[in-house]
Amino acid sequence: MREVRSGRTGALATLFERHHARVYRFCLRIVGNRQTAEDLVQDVFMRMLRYRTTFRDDVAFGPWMFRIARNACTDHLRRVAREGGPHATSATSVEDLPSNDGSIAEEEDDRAELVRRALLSLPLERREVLVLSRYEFKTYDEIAHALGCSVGAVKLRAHRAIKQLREAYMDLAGEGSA
Amino acid sequence: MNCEDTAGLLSDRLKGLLAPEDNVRLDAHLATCSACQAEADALTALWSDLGSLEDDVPHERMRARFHAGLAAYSERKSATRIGAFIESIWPRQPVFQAGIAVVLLVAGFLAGQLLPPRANPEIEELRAEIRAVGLVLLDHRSAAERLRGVEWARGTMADARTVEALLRTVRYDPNLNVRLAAIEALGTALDSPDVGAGLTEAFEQQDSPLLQVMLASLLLDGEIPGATEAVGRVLERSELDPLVRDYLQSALEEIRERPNQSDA
Amino acid sequence: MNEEKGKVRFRIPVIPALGFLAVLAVLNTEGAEAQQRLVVPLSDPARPATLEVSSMGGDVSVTAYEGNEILIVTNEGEGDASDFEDFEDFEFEPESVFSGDTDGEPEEQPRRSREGLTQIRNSGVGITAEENANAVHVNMEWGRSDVDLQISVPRRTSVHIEMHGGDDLAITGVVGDHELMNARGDIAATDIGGSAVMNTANGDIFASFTEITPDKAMSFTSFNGDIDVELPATLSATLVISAGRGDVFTDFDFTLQPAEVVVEPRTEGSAYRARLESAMRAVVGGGGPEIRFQTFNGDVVVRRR
Repeated sequence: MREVRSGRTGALATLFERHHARVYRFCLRIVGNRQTAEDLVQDVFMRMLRYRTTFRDDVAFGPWMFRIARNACTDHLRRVAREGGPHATSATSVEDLPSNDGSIAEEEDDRAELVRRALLSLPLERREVLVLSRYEFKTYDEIAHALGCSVGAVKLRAHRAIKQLREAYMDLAGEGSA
Repeated sequence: MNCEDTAGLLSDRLKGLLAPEDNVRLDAHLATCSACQAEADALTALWSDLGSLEDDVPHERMRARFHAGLAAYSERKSATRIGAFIESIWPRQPVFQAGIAVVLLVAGFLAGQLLPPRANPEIEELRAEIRAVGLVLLDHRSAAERLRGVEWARGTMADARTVEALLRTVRYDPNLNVRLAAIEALGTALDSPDVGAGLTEAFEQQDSPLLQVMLASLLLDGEIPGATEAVGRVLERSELDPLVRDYLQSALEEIRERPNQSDA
Repeated sequence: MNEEKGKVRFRIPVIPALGFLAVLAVLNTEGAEAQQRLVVPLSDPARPATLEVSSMGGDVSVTAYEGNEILIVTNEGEGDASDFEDFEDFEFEPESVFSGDTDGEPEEQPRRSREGLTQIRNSGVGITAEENANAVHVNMEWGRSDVDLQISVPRRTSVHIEMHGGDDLAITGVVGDHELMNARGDIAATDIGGSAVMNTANGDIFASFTEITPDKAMSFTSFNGDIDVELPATLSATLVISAGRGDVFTDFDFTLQPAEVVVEPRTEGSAYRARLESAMRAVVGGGGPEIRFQTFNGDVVVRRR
C-alpha cells in the first residue's frame, strides 16, 4: 500500500490479486447480490486508488481496506433505500435474495441457503460485525478499527448478532419445506 | 453466570478469544443447563455452516474490469503528457495541409461503404491519412476529440487497425458517449468475426443500460453467434434495469417466434 | 410537448465578490448544515481553466462569475449519519454508530504535498482541491458521500463532472469543452458555450448554448430521460438523432441524409420489430461535425436559439 501511495499504481494490481476475493465475499455477504458485489469490489479498489494518500503507515492494511469496503456497501444500500427499489436487502422477503448460480453442490444447498438468508435478514450493523468477525479478523480491536466504533460496541453487536442469526435460521428452517 | 451470557461467551470461544477462567465457567454452566447446552450446540453448528459460504468465488471478469479501471485512471493522470504529444505532431499531418473541408467530403464518401481494396493509390494514401488521424484522435484527452476520432474511423472500417482501436475504445474509454459512438461505428462491420466476438464480450461487461440495449440490438439483429446466449445470461442478473430487462425479453421472444429461415 | 420540460428548479447561488464570502458563510448557517469554503487560485489567470469533479453523492452546481479564482462552497447534504437509522436497531445500541472514532484515530489524515502542484486543504467536510497548470481537480475524501458542491469559476472554464450519487448537476454560463455525467439525476446546462458531451441514465438533459466552437463534435445521451438542447441559429452541423421509443422535434431547417449504405442487404423477414431504428441524420446549415442525440425512453428536442 505504501507503494501505491507513492504513486506506483501498478502495485495496486498486486493488492487486487491478493485481496479482491476477500473483498468480494465481504460485499456479497453484506448486500446479498453477486452482480452488486462485483460492482462494489471495483468501486472499493478505485477508492483505494483515489484515496491512497490517506493510508498511514501506522494503520494496519486490513482494517483500512475493510473500512473502505464497508463504506462502499453502506453507500450503495443507502442509495438503494432512497430510491425505494425492490432491491433493498435489509428486507427479509425471500424474493429479494440472490439466486444460486449453481456453484454450490445441490445437497449442501439447503443449509447454506438458509444460513445465507438468515445472515441477510440481520440489520446491517450486526451483519457487518458478524461477517468481519467470522471471516476476517481475529480480534475485536481490528473490527473496531474497520468499523470506526469502540471495541465495546463491537463485542455487544457480535454477541447479539450470533443470537439473532440463530433465531433467524430457526425461523427459516421452520418454514422451509426441505 | 446466567443463561443470558451463554451466547456471548460462546461466540468468544468460537473465535478462540475466551480467557481460561471464562472457559471453565462456561463449561460448568453448560454441564448444568441443558437449554444452554442445546443452544451452544446450535451455535457451534451455525458457526461451522457460516464457513461453508467461503466457497463463493469471484468471477474472472472482475480482473479485466479492474485493469480497465486502472488503465483509465493512469491515462487520465498522464493526460497532460499525451495532450502535449498530440499537439506536437498535429501540424505535420499532410491531410490538414490539403484543407479540412476536402478531406471531410472524402471521409463522408468513404463512411459506411466498402471500397474495393487497392483500387486507387491516391485513395489508398488518403485512407491511410484518415486512419492515422482517427487513431490519434481516439487517444485524445478530450472526449469531444475522441468523438471526432470515431467519426474519422468510420471512414476506414475495412482496416484492421481501425477496428482494433474502436474495440479498445468500446472496452476502455472512460466516456460513455464515446463508447456508444464506437459501438455504432462497429455495427457497420459486424461481418468480421472479431467485431462480433468483441462486441458480445463488451455486452456482458457493460453495465450502462443504454449500451446494453444498443449492443443487444446490434448483436441480435446481426445474428451474431452466441448473442442470444449472452442476452440470456445478462437477463439472469437480478440488478438489471427493468426497461432493459423488458427490452431484452421482447427481443428474445421475437427471435423465438420468428419462422425458421432456411436458405431459400 | 411539455413546455415546462427542462426548466431548472434549483436556486442559482448568489455570487459575491471575494470580500463578501465571509458574510455568505454566516448567512448560510441556518439549520444544522455544515458549510465549508475553499478558494483555489489559478497558475495563469489569463488562460482558460479546467475544473474536474468526481462526486459520490450530493448535488453539484457550477456557475461562471467575473473573478479569476475557483471558489468552492460545500454543504453537508441531508444524507448524514441520520440516514443510517434505517439500518440500526437503536433499542440495543448503547453507542451511536458513526459518532466518529473513540479510539483516538482521527478521520482526517494529513496529506503529503506533491511536487509541482498547488494543494489547498480543507479540514472540514473532507473536500480537497489540487491545481496544476490551470486544471483544478476536486477530491472527495472517502466516507464523505453526501456533500453538495457549489462552485464558482471564471467564464472560460471547461467543466468535467462525474456524479455517481446525488440528484442535480447544473452548470451555468461557462465556455469550454464540457464533459458531464450524472448517473442518477438530471443535467441542466444553461447559457453555456463551447462544446459538450453529456450523459445521464435516468435523468433529463437540458442544455442551451449561446455559442458553439465550430468543428467540434458533441454528444447528448440518456437512457430513460428527455434531451432538450438549444443551439445557436447559425449552426452548421449534422444532427445524428436516435430516440428509441420517443419522439424527435426541431425547429431548425434541415435535410435528411439518406441512410448509409449497409454492407449486405438483410434477408427478407429477418428484421424483428424490437430492433432499434438506426439514427436519423439531419444536415443543418452547410453540414459539419456530428452532434449526436440518443435516448432509449425519452424525447429529443433540438431548438434553434
